[in-house]
Amino acid sequence: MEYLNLTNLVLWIHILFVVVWLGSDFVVFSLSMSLKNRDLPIDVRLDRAKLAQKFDMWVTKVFLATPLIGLSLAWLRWRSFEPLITLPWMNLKLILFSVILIMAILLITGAAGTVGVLQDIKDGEGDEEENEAILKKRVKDLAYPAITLHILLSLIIIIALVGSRMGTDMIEGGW
Amino acid sequence: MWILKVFWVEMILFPIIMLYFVFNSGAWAERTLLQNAAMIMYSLVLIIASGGYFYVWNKSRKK
Repeated sequence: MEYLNLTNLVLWIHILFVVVWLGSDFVVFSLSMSLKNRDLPIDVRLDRAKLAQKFDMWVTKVFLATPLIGLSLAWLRWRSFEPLITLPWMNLKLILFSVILIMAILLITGAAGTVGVLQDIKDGEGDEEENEAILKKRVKDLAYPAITLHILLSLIIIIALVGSRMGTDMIEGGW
Repeated sequence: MWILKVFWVEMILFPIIMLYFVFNSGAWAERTLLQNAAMIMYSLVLIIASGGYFYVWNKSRKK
């Protein structure tokens, strides 16, 4: 019964959100990569681009909620935000998360317009080859921050699992 | 879209909160390497977020 408390509930919500975030991001990534496939009918590619856009809105919501839940969890666990700065494993997590924030900014600023390019290809607006090249470049350019984000998030999960388990008590410092 | 507004607010506020926590932990020399690295990284996030917001704002204004 000792596991049934608010701190553990928030911890599980935090874990669930990270899993949903990483999982949904893989779906968006996979859909985006498939947009380059010219063997697929243009309607299918356009539908996939719209689906990826809708999915991405959910990824953004979960991504925005996760650090706020993390801060709430820190407060519930330690009744202070000080361990966020004093625990080395938490420091490392925060440094990696700062890179994730930079990648998210790059993705948000560069993501808009994919549906428009596909719509132009479908409607026969402009040169088809040129539009295909724009689409390919856009998908490829956004793949780098997306892959970096996935790797960093996986690392953060490992650090959180190892860091919170090492040592007898998290309050004593973990590592 | 409202979620994008929330996105930019959080991209500015979260680094400010983190920088506040790090600044409160002591002077530069008193802090560990990881704490100073966190401070540099969140300053960078703040600069990139401000730049990103103005880039998007400028792009939408031109449209």
